[in-house]
Amino acid sequence: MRFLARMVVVSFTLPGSAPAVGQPEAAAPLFDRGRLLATGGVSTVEGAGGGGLVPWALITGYATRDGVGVTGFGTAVVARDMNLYVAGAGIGLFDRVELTYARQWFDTRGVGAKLGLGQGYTFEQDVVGAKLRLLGDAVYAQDSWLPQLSLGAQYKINHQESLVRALGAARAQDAEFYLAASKLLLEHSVLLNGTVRLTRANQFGLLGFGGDRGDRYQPQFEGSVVWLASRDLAFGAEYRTKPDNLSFAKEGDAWDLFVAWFPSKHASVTLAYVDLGPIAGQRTQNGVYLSLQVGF
Amino acid sequence: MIRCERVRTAAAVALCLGCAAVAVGINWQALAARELLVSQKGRAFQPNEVALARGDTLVILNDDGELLHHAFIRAERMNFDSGEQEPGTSVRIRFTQGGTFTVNCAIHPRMRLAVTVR
Amino acid sequence: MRWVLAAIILGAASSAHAATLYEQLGGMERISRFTATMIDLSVADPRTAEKFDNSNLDRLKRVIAQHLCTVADGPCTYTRSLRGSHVQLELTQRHFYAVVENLQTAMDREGIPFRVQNRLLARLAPMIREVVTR
Repeated sequence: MRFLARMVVVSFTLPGSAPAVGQPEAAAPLFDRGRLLATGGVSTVEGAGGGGLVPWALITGYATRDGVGVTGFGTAVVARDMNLYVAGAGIGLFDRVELTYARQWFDTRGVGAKLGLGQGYTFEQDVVGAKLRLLGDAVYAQDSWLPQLSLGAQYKINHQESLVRALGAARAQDAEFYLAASKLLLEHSVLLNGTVRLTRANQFGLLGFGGDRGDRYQPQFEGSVVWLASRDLAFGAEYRTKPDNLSFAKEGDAWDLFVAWFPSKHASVTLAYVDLGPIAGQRTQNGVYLSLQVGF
Repeated sequence: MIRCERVRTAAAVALCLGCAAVAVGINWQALAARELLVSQKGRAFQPNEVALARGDTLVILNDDGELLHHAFIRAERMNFDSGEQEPGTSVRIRFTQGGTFTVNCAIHPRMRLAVTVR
Repeated sequence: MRWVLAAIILGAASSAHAATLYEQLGGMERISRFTATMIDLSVADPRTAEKFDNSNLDRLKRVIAQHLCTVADGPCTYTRSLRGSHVQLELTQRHFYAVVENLQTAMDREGIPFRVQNRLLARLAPMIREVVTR
């Protein structure tokens, strides 16, 4: 109800400069950056607000329930035989709704040649995401067991349709859904996240969706533990299970260990050691993950 | 007969003299003295200026939700300190001297009540 | 002599382990200091300055320090209603978090470790429901 009221007020006052009746005092800007540092998370490789691999129930950006925050990010993963590059943006609305977009480039390097695709063949995919905070507040509900709970959906469009079908995938674009729970235990300076995702994506969708080994939505489990070392530094571990629908390309779970630095509410840098599991018939792809997020 | 008339006259005179004595003894000003009610509400005095006559009493009522107030006057000619006023309670200040006084709040510095006593 | 030393060390270690949050925060002296700093920062902070407009700051510092002492299981009592004292100010989430940040800065200046700061914030966080009314 409050979210709808805020949306109506905002749509009537943008681009006007005079504060409208019902809006917070004239001094409070729309891009209020009111939430505490690090509580907006960073951006996952699919663009959602959270860690690097696992989305959180927290809404991207730093806006409070009275404001709006925008974020942009760029990520590079250099694994043993392949690289993944991601760029995207997101908007957090009144601490209630998150909308994100990410473009992924999956550079197969030498493996491309091995697969007969050509050296450095690159798969491209668009991911459009939405997240809705259902209930709870991870930060101030310190006196209850209730986590912050959010419902998320992503629609992925793989641009190599004929190729992924040839590799055994059932389709080149698909939706997936997740339920994320986040709980900040300030008493222990720890953030816990757990996510259940219904998906049939192969390697995050980079090799299409569904396959000869299965084409049903199956629940995948994702979790992360983040230790807040100081106001601007967090260390975390993430784990994510993945389906295994393609017989030619065994797929496993992915995990990472990361450190995220938040020098201000305008930027963050995340460095991680990541293990994406075996990809496209190759050995396990582990390597370095680096991400930069900016926000307003 | 003449004795009855004298007694009645004497009684009437005594009664009149008695009334006059009582009348002189009564503090007419005190009987006419007013009480004026001012509220502490919205972290302000309402009204924020009053005019009183000497001998009037100002009643200040804390009608401000759950907020505490603390009325005080610090002047050459008079001092008053209510201490912390719990919500719903009131304090009384009697003004026996003429002049202008300001009632302040020790908790809310912007609260000011101007009192003019004639 | 060695046994006396060991006993003293063990005693000190076990009492440090069992320290209350009040003790970890440094007792009333430090609590009063970082409370005062928090208020000074918030009065100067453009996000919250106008909310301190009509307040006796010395009294506010004293009363809030009492409250924090109580929250941290110190030897104080504080019985006033948080909602009652804040409702007229019409505070938003932004105001609340701004003061939290100023409290964090004030505790940083007192050298209070981050994990101890978070223990205090854990107890203060639920109060947002009483303090934020807008």
